[in-house]
Amino acid sequence: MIEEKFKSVIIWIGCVLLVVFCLTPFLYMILISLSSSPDFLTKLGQIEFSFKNYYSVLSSKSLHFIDYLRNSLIISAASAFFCVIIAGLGAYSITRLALPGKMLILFFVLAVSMFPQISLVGYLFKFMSSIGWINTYFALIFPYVAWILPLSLWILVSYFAQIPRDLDKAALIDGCTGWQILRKVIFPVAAPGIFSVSLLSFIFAFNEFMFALMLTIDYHSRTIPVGIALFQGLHGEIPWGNIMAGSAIAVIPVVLLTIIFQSYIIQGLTRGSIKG
Amino acid sequence: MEYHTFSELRESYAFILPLMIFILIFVLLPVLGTFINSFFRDISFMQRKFILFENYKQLFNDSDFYGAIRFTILFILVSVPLEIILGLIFALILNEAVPFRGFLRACVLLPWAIPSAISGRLWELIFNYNYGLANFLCIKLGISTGPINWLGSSLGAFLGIVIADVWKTTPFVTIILLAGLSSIPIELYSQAKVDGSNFLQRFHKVTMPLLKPVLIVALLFRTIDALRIFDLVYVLTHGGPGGATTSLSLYSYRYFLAGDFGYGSAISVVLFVIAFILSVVYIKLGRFAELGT
Amino acid sequence: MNLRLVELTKRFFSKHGSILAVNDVNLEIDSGEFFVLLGPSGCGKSTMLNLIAGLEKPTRGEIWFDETLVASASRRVFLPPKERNVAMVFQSYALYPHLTVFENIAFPLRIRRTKEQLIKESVQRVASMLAISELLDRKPAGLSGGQRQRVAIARAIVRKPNIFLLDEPLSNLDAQLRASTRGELKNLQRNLGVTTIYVTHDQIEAMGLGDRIAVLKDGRIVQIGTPDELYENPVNPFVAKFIGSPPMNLFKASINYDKGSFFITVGNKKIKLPDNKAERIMSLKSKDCLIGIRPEHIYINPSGAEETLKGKITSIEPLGKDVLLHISIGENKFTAITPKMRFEEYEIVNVGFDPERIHVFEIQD
Ligand SMILES: Nc1ncnc2c1ncn2[C@@H]1O[C@H](COP(=O)(O)OP(=O)(O)OP(=O)(O)O)[C@@H](O)[C@H]1O
Ligand SMILES: [Mg+2]
Repeated sequence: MIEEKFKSVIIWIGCVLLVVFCLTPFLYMILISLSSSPDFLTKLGQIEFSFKNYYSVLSSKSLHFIDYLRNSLIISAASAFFCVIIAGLGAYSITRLALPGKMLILFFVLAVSMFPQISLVGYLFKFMSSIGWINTYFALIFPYVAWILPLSLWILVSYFAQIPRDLDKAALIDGCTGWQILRKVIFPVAAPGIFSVSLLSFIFAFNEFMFALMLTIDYHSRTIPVGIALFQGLHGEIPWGNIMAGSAIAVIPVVLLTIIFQSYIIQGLTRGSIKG
Repeated sequence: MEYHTFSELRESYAFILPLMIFILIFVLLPVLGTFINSFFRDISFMQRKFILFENYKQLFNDSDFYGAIRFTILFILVSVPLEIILGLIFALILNEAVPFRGFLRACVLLPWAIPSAISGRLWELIFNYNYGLANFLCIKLGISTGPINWLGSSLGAFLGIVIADVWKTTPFVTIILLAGLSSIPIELYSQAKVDGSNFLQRFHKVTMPLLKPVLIVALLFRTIDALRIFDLVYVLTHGGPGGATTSLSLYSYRYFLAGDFGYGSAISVVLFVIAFILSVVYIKLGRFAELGT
Repeated sequence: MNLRLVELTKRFFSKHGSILAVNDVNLEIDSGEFFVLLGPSGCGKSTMLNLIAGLEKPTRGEIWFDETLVASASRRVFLPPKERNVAMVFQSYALYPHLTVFENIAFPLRIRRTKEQLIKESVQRVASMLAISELLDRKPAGLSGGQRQRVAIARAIVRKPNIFLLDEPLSNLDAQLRASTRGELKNLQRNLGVTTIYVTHDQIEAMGLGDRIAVLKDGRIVQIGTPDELYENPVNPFVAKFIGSPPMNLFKASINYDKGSFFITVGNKKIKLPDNKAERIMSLKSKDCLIGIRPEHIYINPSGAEETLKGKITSIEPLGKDVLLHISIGENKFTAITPKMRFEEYEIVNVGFDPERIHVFEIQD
């Protein structure tokens, strides 16, 4: 009895600490973004709250904040879309078809996902320069898809492997072609997995930094993480209020996705790293 | 007979081909290109010249390179264990029948979900010397008498990066360990309780042994990821002060940025080899065999 | 539709070598026939169905639907399942979990781009035929085993297939449901008149359903015949053991020739074999052979005048109306079915064989 009581107290304290640990920086971000000066802690009470920072970030044409955000959303959505399709096809052939050495492919792809990004980016820069893609969406979408594919493949393989083979056979006999089996049976049955992969791919592409830093030049294709990282003040003083307001807006898409679809994200992460 | 296996092969390759092409062109080719380039003097606006191991020789006499290795290894040694321990604690809490389970899980995920460039910016503000939250709390809680020069001192910058990284990646560890914990059958705990064991004994005798494979997976995943740290150092400290927090990735990036692709490639090849060895270990240790067959 | 298999062979290759799953099968199935493939697990029944359906390509041999060649390795002909218009019911039912019952049944029609109105009529027709009209809005997860099985059959027959293939469709049902569904299935097949191939490892099912049965072993057809033929004249001990329950008694014996008749010795009694077996006996390679007698053709304490042997009852299993006795005669052990009477364990009884019902087989290794 005493042990139980003790345990529940510990757990309560743990929960509170967990929430504080995870959310304090977010709260701080929002407070600063709403206050007129970043030293609001030292001048507690004297600072007024307003949406001025948000207004200036969104309205200032020269900041290109809206451009960065739009670029990020388009690039991430496109990457997620292609990633799901390509990984879906790959996972299908790995779980279904008479492909020699398919386990080898799976492990090879896993090894690929461990490569450091820096060992690609130098060559990618030269490659993209030579075909004139620097500072275009393509320069990011293609490497992102390739970069996120391994994880997506692993997640989808673990989902597809659970769909009984008889379902494919039934679909074949009912008259489906290979494509139709995928579109009308495998993808819909593995819909939760497809959805997790889409979410994770989107989040990874949205958060990517190094490629975006190296392969974009300006607001034509620059993404929001780079935009915010390079956000400097005009007159020496760092405009923290603006940066935090921009950050707060920038994280809205991923924060919303995470909160609403947390179970799918957790599923995906778990299956991508531990065996399904 | 041949025609049969052959036609089946053709079909299957058609499905996996896009994946292989993408990985080939945008991952393997670049890695290969980087390898080859590391044997060249390849600086923008200069004649490209084959110099075999010159870049590597230079690397071995480059004290900044050793500094980058030192920082990267220290960073792994400090941050990964912290993340694993904290992640394990969080996972143990979330695995209990806690109230607001969904809310807690979402909280845990949030630091992981946002771009590390943005969290880097956020921590830069938190560690601000004059008005950052870190110094405010340190003084209020009596940890320090005056403000700490977080990002301006070597130790402070190192700790700052570790703290920011722990904040960002503990969630990932928590999620993985949580999955491991929830797959331990409840009956094992009931049995242990019947046998009269206390909470700590159960943790030691039931939880830890069964969680070990998952712990190893988390450990290696985190190690490989920490090895390539870039975003946080770039944003939070720019590798400073005085190069004290320059990671291998950042060091290599500096050369790319300056147009010296040969030397930059040599640095990233070293990083690649280390990561590759680690990932081989990872695949050997992780138990993936049953999937996909 | 008439179905013809010619020298059909399927070899699977794997890391550990290769398996001949179907080995040189020749078979002709008549239009409208209910044909059963019977054999133990792993003998290649499913593989044969898959070959007919077009899910697998033959390693050798040909498959003909009427005058159409649908698969031939040597002539490089292979029609995919889509173009064969066969329907199949799986042991696992293989219902699409994301679709309602209605959409499951409609699926093959939708793939063929059938008109919406026609789809609706067809689905409702087969649904009422199988008494599942109330289930049309449900998902497969919410159905019982028997209901799922009906949906699977409905999906199979909705598009009027050329050939109807069933792979152990009843083995996931409980015993009672299995018996009643067996009858319905037979009626359904009669009404539809579709050539049907039914795979099972259960000889009771095979005997009850099949117009003809092919018994398979290790990928080969051992015997083809009507249920009665298989029961009366099994060609070898394998079929003899497989058909009939409890299985036929088999024991080794030597055949002697004496005064124009053949005899075997059991215990210390000589039993005369009927003269109509003479031809069979003459064809044997050696005088040592296997003798078979079904439990229902062994008589306990017969009242007639025939020769009897002394046997000891070692155990007794009541079967309701009848009783199953395990009897030992000398070194040989027998099972016998006999009308219920009072028996005691270890009781010595008189045992008579019906000589007309004795089977003689070559000894196999
Ligand atoms: N795709 C395959 N690859 C390799 N071997 C296979 C394959 N399919 C079947 N086999 C092998 O072929 C043999 C026949 O298999 P099949 O499934 O036809 O048997 P079955 O008679 O249907 O058995 P059961 O009653 O258990 O369903 C088995 O030894 C099986 O292991
Ligand atoms: Mg089978």
